[in-house]
Amino acid sequence: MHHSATAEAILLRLAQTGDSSAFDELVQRKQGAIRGLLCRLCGDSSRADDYAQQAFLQAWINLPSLKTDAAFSGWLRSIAVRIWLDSMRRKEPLASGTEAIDEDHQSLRYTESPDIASDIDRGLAHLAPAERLCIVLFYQDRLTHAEISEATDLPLGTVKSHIGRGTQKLREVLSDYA
Amino acid sequence: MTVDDNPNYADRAQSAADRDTVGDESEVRDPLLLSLFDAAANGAEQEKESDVLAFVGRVSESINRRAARRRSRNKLIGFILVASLAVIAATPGLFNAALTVLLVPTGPLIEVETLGVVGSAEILLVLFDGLFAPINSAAGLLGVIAFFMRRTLFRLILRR
Repeated sequence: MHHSATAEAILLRLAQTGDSSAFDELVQRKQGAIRGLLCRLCGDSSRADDYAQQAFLQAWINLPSLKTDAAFSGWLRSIAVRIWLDSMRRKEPLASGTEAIDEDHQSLRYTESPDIASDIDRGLAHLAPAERLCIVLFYQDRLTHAEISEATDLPLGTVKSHIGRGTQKLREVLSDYA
Repeated sequence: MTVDDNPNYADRAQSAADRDTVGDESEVRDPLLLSLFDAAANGAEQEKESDVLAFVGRVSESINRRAARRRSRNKLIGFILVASLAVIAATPGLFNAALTVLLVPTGPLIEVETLGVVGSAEILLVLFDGLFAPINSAAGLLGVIAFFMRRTLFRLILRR
């Protein structure tokens, strides 16, 4: 069944009943945001794709427990953030945005404006993981402090200081663009 | 003394007001960083359709792999369950047979000691019968029901 013109709420309902083609359509619609977020957080697009794949798999497994249709995007983002935070706890190193191209995953690479994107990644590599997370959610996903606090389970005050410090550090690193 | 008269309360109120003001200002995004993130995101919007489809396929494949793993695991659990029921159903019969074999050469009044319980083999036979007969019947009944409802049961187990 082709779902390209179906409303998201209907797709969600269908996916919750186990309709995998409806879920494929949801993946197609949401993959850009999730892969983009993880790409920025990891600084490595092939690893970002692995985490995004895990996030969508977890979303599929837990979809029946999602009560509000409107919360889907935020819920999916929280899953992706949790997966990334778990990887940080396992001490998987962050890339600095200058990684070599992986031939095997080249076709799955999340493509971005290369120069600016890699400069941002280099700048983000100077930040602590929690600062990096708050900055990306603040500037890329345009979340408010309260929304970031909710998505990351960090206290509001901590989110504010991470964003304040992170903005300052990132501005210094990217001062050539000023 | 009112709240306003107390310098501590006044200080606290002032610092709370300051916090709110700082909070509001800190919500303002740095224009340079905002434009750089936007520029990077604009590049991302030009992603290839083949790349998107490949990613969707990859997710779909991982979902199918997981479903296949769950199916084989559930089948294994099902077989273990049926085998356990069969063993439970057969156990009293096996004990009966073993004790009967024991009674034939030694006679009915021989004292046997099993797991610290001393009694005649006949008493043990009665005990085993009393203990296992209801389990035996229940297991048999469950086995018959499970056999006739196996498709429904597997559908329920394998729903996801």
